[in-house]
Amino acid sequence: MAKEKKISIIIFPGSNCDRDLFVAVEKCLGIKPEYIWHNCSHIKTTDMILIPGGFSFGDYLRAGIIATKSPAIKEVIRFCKKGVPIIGICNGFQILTECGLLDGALIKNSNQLFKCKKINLKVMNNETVFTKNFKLSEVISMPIAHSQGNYFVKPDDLKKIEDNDQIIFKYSSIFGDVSEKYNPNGSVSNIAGISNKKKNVMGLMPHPERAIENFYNGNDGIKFFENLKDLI
Amino acid sequence: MNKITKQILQDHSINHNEYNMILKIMGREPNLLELGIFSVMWSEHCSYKSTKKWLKTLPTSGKQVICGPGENAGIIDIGNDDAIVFKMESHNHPSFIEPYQGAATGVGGIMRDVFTMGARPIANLNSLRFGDPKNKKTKNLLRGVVKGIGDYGNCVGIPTVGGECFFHKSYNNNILVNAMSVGLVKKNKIFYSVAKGIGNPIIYVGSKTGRDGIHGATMASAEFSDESENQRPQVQVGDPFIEKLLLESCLELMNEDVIVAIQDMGAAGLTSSSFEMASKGNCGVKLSLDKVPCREKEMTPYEMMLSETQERMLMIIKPEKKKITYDIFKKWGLDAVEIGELTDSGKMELFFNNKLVGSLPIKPLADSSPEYNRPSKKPKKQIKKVKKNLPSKINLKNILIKILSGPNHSSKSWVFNQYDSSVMGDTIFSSEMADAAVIRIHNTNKAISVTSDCNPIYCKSDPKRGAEIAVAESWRNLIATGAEPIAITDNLNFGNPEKKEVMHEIKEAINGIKKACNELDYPVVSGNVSLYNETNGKSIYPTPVIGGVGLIKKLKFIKGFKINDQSLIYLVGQTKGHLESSLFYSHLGITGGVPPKVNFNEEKKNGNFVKFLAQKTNILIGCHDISEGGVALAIAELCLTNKKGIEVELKKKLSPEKFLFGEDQSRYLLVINEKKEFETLAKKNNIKYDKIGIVTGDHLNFKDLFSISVTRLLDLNSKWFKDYLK
Amino acid sequence: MIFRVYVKFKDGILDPEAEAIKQTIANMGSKSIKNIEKGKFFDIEVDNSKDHLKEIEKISKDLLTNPVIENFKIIKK
Repeated sequence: MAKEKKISIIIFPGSNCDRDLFVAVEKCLGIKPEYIWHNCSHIKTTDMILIPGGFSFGDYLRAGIIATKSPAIKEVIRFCKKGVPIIGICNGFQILTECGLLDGALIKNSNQLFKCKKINLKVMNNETVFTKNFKLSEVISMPIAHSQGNYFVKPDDLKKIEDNDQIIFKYSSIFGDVSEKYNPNGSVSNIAGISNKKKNVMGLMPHPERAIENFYNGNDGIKFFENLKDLI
Repeated sequence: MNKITKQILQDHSINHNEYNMILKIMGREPNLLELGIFSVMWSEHCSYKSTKKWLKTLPTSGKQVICGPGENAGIIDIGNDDAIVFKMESHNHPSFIEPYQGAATGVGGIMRDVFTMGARPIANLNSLRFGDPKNKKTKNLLRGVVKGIGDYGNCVGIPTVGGECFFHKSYNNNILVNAMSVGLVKKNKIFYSVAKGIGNPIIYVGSKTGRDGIHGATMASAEFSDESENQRPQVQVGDPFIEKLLLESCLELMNEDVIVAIQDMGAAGLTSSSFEMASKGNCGVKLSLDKVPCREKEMTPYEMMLSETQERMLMIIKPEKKKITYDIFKKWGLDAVEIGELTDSGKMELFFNNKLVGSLPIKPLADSSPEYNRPSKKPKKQIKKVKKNLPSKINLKNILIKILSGPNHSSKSWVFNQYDSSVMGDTIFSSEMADAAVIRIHNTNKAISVTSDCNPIYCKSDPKRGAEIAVAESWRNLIATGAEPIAITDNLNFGNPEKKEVMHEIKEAINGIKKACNELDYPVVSGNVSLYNETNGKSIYPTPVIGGVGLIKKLKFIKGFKINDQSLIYLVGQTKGHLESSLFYSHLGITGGVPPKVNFNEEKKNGNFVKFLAQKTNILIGCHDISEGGVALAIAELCLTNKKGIEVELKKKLSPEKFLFGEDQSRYLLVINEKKEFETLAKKNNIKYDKIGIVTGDHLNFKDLFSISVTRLLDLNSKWFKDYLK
Repeated sequence: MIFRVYVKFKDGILDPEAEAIKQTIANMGSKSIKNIEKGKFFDIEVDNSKDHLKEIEKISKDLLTNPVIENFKIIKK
């Protein structure tokens, strides 16, 4: 009998997209994920780790930084070394950059305001474990909702992640035009989501878990989660 | 012990008669602490002394009402053991003084009122009213208030799905920030604030108490003067992260059999929460104030009792459940401290380091607050008769353009995009896409519609009729989304009730609400009153904001502003072309006159017909009720939302301006895909209807009159906020 | 003893907030302001027993700054 697969959702005081992520995973993958509280110092086993959006620790000091000092994130780092797939969404992405699992940093939106809006994403790399069922350059839509989604990385590091095909999603028009006009927050090179060099960790600012219905934000998020079927 | 002087009474806003009442109740002179407690409990904001007499006349019961006014929020039954908890509250005065924190803490306070009853908030709305954009304060107030609301609601993770943002010179020095919160709870898991059980521990949980907002309750009850600029220290400061922790920890504790009674500490903080809980349960209370967690050094009992530090709750628990209580709050990182117990003394006894520092009889204080029957008088100055001589040639196209590109009807995306509207994954429509916001009830096939609305221009012309219309329009908004309207919360914003003309407005508005609620079987389950919205003697327009909630039994009943190519647009209801008090006239500089009248039989007939189409047929594609700006604005909004053109044929019997801009009530635009079936049903139900348009092309085309391309409409409609806030 | 840690964006990071502040000051009438940079500071109180500088440096690196975008400077108050 095949071992039942485990998907872990790490939650912190202040996380608020955890239920949405749970619902999306259950709906699209047929698995009930397990919540892991931030002070859990030992995760026995897991096949995938998800870090949801929200305002962990109130975004005190810097978004995501205090979360990185929690025992659960130490476990995330341990599982990362083992090659377990890890996805951070919004605040999750911020946490992954702050703990060094992903390059760069997320700073304040260029217009200095919180922005909640449905945007389009172009798939820049469809050869990762997270995106192989997308067509290259496919455009999907889902919402952003953040005030610190402006992705920054130094020019040398930008070149590195470009050369390593670590850029997974870019903000684009509905036709895949990635010019600045379609950049909602000032992110360098319209970057919305990236992976690490090993391609087992991905972070993205938009919320696929909010795009799984036939209303409001549409259901391109279903495709996003169904990509993960082969991982578990 | 301080002697109570005239100055002290004045500082506490206690008049001579009220002081005599205090002496009678106490049987002696109160000390400063006791006087401070009286002053906040008997403030207008906490006691409703100027409006209580009239509010009691409102209909508050119905077969779907579980809890009416008197608790932290109102509760209605939406079937399958689900209930909706909701309320609207104002934070007007603090938002004017410190817009960011004032608005933020308003949102925080109303959410606590909802989750203190066991309900997880599922949607927030807010009604904002600012002054004339040209007024030098307006821009910063707009920025601060919107950011405050967004930052707070977004951090707690509750979607903000709708509301209003309105500009008018009447609010130049008195902005209105009315925040509404709606929560979901299981019927058998509702928590009330009735304290019970002698000896039961009183637990304080949440933020450490500081000196913020002391006398906030009395400030909310005072007019502004030029000195108000210096009042900054009295504004409360909020932390939405603590609120989120409070929300989760309370809901977690509520799953256990621990809490006997619970209330949030809002206006007048520890004072009002402890008094109200004890008086409802006929208990006495003993508090050891030295146990209150404080974040400032050397706080006095006076300061602790009056502090309005945010994000705090007070609860009565079963004595054997202390451990689980402390464990849960410790998990979430919050202070939970036993600060007292219930007694049978009927008194509030306040101790500080084992010394009795205050003793007040509870019931007389909480229940016997003054109830005034303030004198009222219809204003001597009659509403100006409307000059019927319109300019000989009115360019109707230009008026529509002016309306669509002005601050009150431009796209509000600058505001709205600062609010997270999709967290929790159940938002079906925001109020940009339909006449009301629609939120799915999680894990079910049903939804609720929520709306918040008021037309103060109507209310200034005729407060009673204006209030009737506010309720009727709220009802209509819900019907237009496919819902069964159930109940309302009312947020009454007025000037100084000690002025006869203002008291007249208040009484008339309450009468109007009463009439409409009775006619429509649409009771009031909660509400709030904000008075003294005046500066230097100049009052705001009477603004009774109505927040309505309805139930959509099946998701397939939901209707929004949708139109399909070749859809037919029908106008349902009677159009006579009422232009007095209209948006059209105001754009021509014509003020005065009376607002339109609501014929409640028509209203019910038309509303029931729309409900029938939405629930029992497949021919209704979309729906938009008609309000200010008449048919012209409603049709333009359909074009804008869908980015499609509509060709409109004007009714020949009326002049173009009457047809396009008349604000007759009880009307809807119906988007229909089956002409024959619709007309048969309409005739059968004795509904007045006119086929006025068809979805076609890329222009808003009023045949033989004028046309505007959809591209131009979108451009005109999207500029105002960007240009204003450059 | 109090150590003050100043944290500021690295050179080359666009700080729209500082730009907005600079523009607002110009709008308020002070036309002679050449530049504004913003940052934050932390006052860390320690006992006088030993040299805490290395410890403060570690805290600054590990927590108080994001090394991708921020620099820090420590002074003894």
